[in-house]
Amino acid sequence: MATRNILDDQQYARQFKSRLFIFFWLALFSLILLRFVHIQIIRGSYYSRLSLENMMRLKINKAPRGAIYDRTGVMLARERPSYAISLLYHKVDDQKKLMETLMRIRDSEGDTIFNKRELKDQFWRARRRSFEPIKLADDVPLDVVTVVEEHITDLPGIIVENESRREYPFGTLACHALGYMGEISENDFDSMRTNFDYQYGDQVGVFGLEKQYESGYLRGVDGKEYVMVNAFGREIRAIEDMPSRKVKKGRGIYLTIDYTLQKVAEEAFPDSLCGAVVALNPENGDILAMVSSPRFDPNIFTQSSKNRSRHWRRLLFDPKKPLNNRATTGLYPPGSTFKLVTAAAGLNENIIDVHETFKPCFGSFQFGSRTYKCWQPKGHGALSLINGVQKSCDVYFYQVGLKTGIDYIAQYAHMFGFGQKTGVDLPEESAGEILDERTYNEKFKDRGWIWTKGQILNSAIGQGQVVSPIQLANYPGALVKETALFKPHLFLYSPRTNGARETWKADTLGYIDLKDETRMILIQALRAVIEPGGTGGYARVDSVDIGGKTGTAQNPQGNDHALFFALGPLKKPTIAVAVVVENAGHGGSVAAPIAGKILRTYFNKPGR
Amino acid sequence: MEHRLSSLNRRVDPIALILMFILIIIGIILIYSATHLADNPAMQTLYKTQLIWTLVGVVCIYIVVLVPFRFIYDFTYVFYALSLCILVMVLITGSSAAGATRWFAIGPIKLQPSEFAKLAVILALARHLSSHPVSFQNISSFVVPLAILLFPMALIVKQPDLSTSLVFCAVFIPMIYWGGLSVLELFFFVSPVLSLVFAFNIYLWAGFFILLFFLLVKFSRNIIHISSILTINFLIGIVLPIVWNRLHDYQKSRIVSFIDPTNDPFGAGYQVIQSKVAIGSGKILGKGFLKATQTSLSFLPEQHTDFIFSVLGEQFGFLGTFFVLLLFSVLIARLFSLASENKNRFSNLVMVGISSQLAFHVLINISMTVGMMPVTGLPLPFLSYGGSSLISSMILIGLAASLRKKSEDY
Ligand SMILES: [Zn+2]
Repeated sequence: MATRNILDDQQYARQFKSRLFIFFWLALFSLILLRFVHIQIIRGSYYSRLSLENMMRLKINKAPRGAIYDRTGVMLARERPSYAISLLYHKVDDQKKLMETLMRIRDSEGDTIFNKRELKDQFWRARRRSFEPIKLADDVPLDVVTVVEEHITDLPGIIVENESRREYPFGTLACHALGYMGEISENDFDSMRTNFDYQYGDQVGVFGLEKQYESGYLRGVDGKEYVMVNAFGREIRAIEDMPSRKVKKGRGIYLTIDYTLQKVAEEAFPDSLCGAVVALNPENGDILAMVSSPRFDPNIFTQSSKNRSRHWRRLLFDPKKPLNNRATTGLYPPGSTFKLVTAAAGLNENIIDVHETFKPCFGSFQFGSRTYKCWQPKGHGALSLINGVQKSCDVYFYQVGLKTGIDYIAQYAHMFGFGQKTGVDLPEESAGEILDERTYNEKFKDRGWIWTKGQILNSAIGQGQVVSPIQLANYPGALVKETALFKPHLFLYSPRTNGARETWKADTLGYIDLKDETRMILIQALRAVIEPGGTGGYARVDSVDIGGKTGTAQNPQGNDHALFFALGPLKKPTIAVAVVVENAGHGGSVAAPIAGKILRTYFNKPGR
Repeated sequence: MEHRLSSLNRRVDPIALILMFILIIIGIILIYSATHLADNPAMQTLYKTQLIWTLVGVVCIYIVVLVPFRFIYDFTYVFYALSLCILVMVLITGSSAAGATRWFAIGPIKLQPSEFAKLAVILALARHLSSHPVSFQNISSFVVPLAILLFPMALIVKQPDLSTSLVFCAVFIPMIYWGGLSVLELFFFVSPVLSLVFAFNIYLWAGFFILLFFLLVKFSRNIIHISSILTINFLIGIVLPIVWNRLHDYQKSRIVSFIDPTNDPFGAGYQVIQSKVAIGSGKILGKGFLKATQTSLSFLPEQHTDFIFSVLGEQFGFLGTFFVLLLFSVLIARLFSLASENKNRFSNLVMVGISSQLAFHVLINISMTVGMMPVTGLPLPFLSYGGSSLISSMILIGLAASLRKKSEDY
């Protein structure tokens, strides 16, 4: 009897629990049912109106892109208004007729705006995103917009969208630093949309600073709202109780570039020549000017896609490769500009003495079975280090190199920032290459080449390594000042929404370990190059203590490249300039005058 | 033949099976109406594929019904270990791209390993709880059940699939209630979760905390229990909001988008808005079969899978949604009441677990289509297109509907 009771109790408990469950779930289902009563019965006609007439559309208000200014506030990149003609596929009633009407539209010059093949593609794409506006033509001239607006009732599904486009008021000025815009590729689109909220057909920075500072600084936040539209796709009003988001303009950035200096540098460098100029402040890494030649006009990338593709092809297939930023990705043998590295290594390791003369130069140097020439066939005679740098005597530096050894030369080259990226805030940069015995053997293992002592001679005078112009501008400061080697940068500051400034956080590439005596000798040598009797006289600036070094890089493919760097004032340099001119022969006669113009502009400025 | 049919009838609960088949047929009709206008011809025949899955499911049910009770009971832990292995394997081998790790291919059939894991957890919990009731008097009695729950859950959260992990909790709580806790103890057990919900309003939370305090003092004599439950609730109710407010906006939005990936009303949330428009525009009677304007215009890319309920709502209106909700309610109520008629603790616990899982799926999916819940990617059992979901749901029903008879035979 007792067991019987327990069983009953258990059955009772089970029933209670299962009823509680049923009650609990029914309560939740009733809640859902109430929601359906609300949506389908109470608000039913509202939703049915939205659905039957397809009146709702997500409207995207494009955020203006942040402007780019130079350090003094000159606007280098800004927004201009533009119009696009887009298609809302679900509004189209007769696709064939619409395409025919569109193809009849002509601009002021009588050219058609649309062609059949492209339209077909775009309609096919629009079919797959039938509730999104798909751009048929961008950057449409105002007269065409007027025509379309007038006939909008004959063009069901067609809408005119306001956009803003990038504009570079100074055209080619600093184009490689500023970069340019491009359309998001079809492949990247899906991930870009979900992660970064891009729309189909959006332009995005694809090169230079436009790419580097795309998110966070230049790109704003697009506004979004749901709008009622009429049967022709024209917007009537925003829909109540639907979510919306306000437009937020891109913050914009101020660059370290100095417009005046940049302009002088651009003008000093002829467009017919290839090469690069970088001017920076060795005290903090601020890049004051950056030129790469030949140049391009970044405005063409924001024109209508029709114009764009034409220019794009021309730029892409130009053998001079104007789209490359030679200032950061161009790699050249440093030539004699590298001799200061060799000298610094030898002096600082106490291997050579400043007064050590070695064997005099008679125009060539015999090493092993080979004869190594000096650039001056007549020879330089016996030289001390200062004169060796001043005259850029190769024979003198062959001997410095041999005595110092490749390990010290490579070690000091790395210390001065060669052979590694400077970390400049641009997406495109090359590291260059400094070879020593180990890396040389590794690199040429496949070809069976083995390091010989003769390679040291080439390395000592800057043949065999490759460096970029920005490395060449960054390194002279490290020869004469005690502070660190800074990471060069173009970002100066960006205004925050609260008015404060987000400034560049100074970053160092490494510390320079040079003795004071070494530095004093290097300063003397650099100064001697600019003084009468030196190779860099064209870079002289009245009453300013300038130093520099010329270089001529042997180029197996053609004429030698001309190189030059200069900095000043030598006591406490605030500017260092590097100039590389491809296939132009001697650095002293071609590259030094360009640097001279920049330096004179810089130092003649009142208040500096 | 007749003899075999009637013997099968004795083995399974016919009401549950009939309700299930009605739902599946409705699902196939809806899949047809959602895809018959699709651009892609392969999409247009999805309803046929679903029909094939149904047949596969019927075979699976038949097999499940024939498996002896003893076998299921004995192999419970083996099955559990096996499903853990599969989860680990998927973690190691599967690529993390776009949730691909959630799929596991066996021959031509792609199955979600988490579906196995759900059933394995239900069985393992049932077996353990059937001989080891949980109780607050003995806190250590929670260790094994929690371990059974947390191992697969941790492996799935890593994948990452928050909604599937929540399903585990939705199964766990009813099962430990059935496995020995009283309502009050269950309330204490889930109180941290409730604190989390109330934490967004300090007054609401304070009221809840005071109630919790009095209930604890009145019904519990164990000072350690009282203080530890109160401490946990205090931490969640007070400290968590403070930490939350200290977080940066981007950190907050990262957390929010983990919990609710459709929080952005312009991204995936757009689907929900369109789903609401579709359902709402069905009004009371619906627009009629194949007369849908929203769903047939491919507003919703997932209308035949996760958003199948909005296809129903648009074409058959409130009457349709009410009818299907009713079918689900009766089915779930039937499964729960089956559990109360049986004396075998193990099979009852399995039935409670299965019913809770199905009910939770239905609840989450339907709430999602009307914007009451985040879009989680949980399909609607029996109605949504997809072999993995359909077959596993059918196996669950087959098991639940046959367990009572099985255990009686046993
Ligand atoms: Zn010489």
